[in-house]
Amino acid sequence: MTSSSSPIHTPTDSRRLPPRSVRLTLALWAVLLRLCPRAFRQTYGVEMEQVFRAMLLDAWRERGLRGVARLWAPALGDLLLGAAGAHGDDLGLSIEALRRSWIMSRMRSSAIITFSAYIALVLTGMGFQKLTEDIIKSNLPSMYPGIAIAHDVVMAGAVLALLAVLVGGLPVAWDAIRKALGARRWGILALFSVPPVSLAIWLAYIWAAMNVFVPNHLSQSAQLAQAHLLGRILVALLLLGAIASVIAVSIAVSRSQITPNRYRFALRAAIVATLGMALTMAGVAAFGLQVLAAAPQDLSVLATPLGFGESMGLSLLVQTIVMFIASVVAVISVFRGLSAPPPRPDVTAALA
Amino acid sequence: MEQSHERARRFVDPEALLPLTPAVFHIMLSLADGERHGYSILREVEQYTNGALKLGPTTLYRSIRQMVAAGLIEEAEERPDPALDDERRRYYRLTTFGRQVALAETRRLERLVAMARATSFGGQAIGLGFSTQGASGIGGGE
Repeated sequence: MTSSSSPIHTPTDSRRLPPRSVRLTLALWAVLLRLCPRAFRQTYGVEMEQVFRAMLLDAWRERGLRGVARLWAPALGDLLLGAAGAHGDDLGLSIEALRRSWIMSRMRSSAIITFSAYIALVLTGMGFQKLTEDIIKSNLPSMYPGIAIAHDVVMAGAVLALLAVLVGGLPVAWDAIRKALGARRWGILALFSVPPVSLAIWLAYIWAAMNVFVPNHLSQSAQLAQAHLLGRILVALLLLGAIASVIAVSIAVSRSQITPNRYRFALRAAIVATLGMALTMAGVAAFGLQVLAAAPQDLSVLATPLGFGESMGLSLLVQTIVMFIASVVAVISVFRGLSAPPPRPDVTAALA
Repeated sequence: MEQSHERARRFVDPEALLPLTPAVFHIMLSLADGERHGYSILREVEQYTNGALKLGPTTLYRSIRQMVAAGLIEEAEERPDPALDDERRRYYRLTTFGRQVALAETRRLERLVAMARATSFGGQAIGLGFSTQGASGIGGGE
C-alpha cells in the first residue's frame, strides 16, 4: 500500500488519546450505531467508527468543542436516515430474493411438468406402436392411405417432441451433472443414474424373458399364459422405471442450481416439444378414426399385447385421451413458465 | 455466489444501473485514480465539491455496501503497513465493471448538460457559471 495509491490520508493520529468530548460523542454514536442492521454493523461498524472518530478529531482540532457540537446534528441525521435506508436495502434484497426464488421455482416446475407429460406421452406412444404393428404390417395402410398418413404424423410428432426435449433438456441435465461432479454431490449423481439403471434392468428382463423364463417343455396354452404374465411384468417394469426415472430426475434438477437462462431456453424448446406432442396425439386420434372408417372390425379385436382383455378401439381411445391430457398439461405448464418475469441480475438488484 | 455475481456482471449492460445516486457517483469519482479507505473517500469528495457534498459515515458505508454487492468496487487485498496506518482499515478500488458504469454515467450526464445548454437555461447557466451545487450537509448524497 503506497502513499501514491491513496493520495489523501487521515490527517489525525488515531492512536493519540482523544479529548473527553470526542470520547463521549463517539461512545454515544457507537450506541446509536446499533440502529443499523446487525449484518451491516458487523461488516462496516468498526470502519464507520474509525471514520466518525477521525471526523470528530478533525472538528475538535479545527474549532474545539464548538466544532464537535456542530458535527452532531448532521451526524445524527446521517445515522438515523442511513440506518433506515440500510434496513430498507435488506428488506428490498429479501423481497428480491423471494421474487427470484418464486420465478425460479415456477420455471423449474414448468420444465419438470412438461418433461413428465412428455414421458407419459412416450409411454402411451410405445403402447400405440405395439398395438398397431399388426395393422401397419397388413395391407390396410396401402388400401387406405389415410391410415399410413396418420401413422406417419404420429411418428413425425414423436420425433419432433423427442428432438425438442433433447435440445432443451440435455443442457439442463448436463449443467446439473457438471455442478454435482464439481461439488462432489454424489446424491445428485445417484439420482441421475436412475434412468440408465432402470433401462438396463428393463432390457435385462426382456433378454431373460426371451431366453430363460419360458421353458420349452410346457404346453402351448401354458406357454401363452406365461407369456401374458411376463408381458404384464414387462409393462409394470417399464412403468415403474419410467415413474422412478421422472421422479429421480425431477428431484435432481430441483436440487441443482440451474441458471434462469438454461430454464428459459428449455421452456422455449418445450414449446416445440408440446407441438410435437399435440401432433402425435392428433395422429393417434386420426389413426383410430381412419381404422374405424376402413375396418371397424379390427377395432374390436382384443389388444392381446397387454393381455388385459381390452379391445383395440378402447385402447386407442384411452391412448388418445392420455395423450390429450399430457399435451394440455404441457401447454399450460409451458405457458406458466414463459409468463414468469425474467429475474433481475444481482448486480442491478443491489443498486435498486 | 461470487461466481454468479461475476457471470451476471458480464451480461449486464452498464447503462442498466443508471442513473447512479450522487453519493455512489462521487465515491466512484474519488476512486478514479486509485484505491482509498473510507475516510479518504469522504475527504476527497468534500474537497473536490468544495464542501458542497459532505458524506456521513452511514451514507458512505451504505453506498459502499451496495457498490460492493453490485460489483462496482472491491476491497483491495493489501492491508496498510501497521507502522504507517491502522491495519484494520480497508481500502477500496474500482472494478473494471465499475469503471464502465462510471463512464456510462459520465456520458449520460454529458448528454444531459448538452440538452440543458440547448434550451433557454443554457444561456443563463453560462452567465451564472452553471452552478451544480445541490446537495449540502453531511450525508446529503442521497
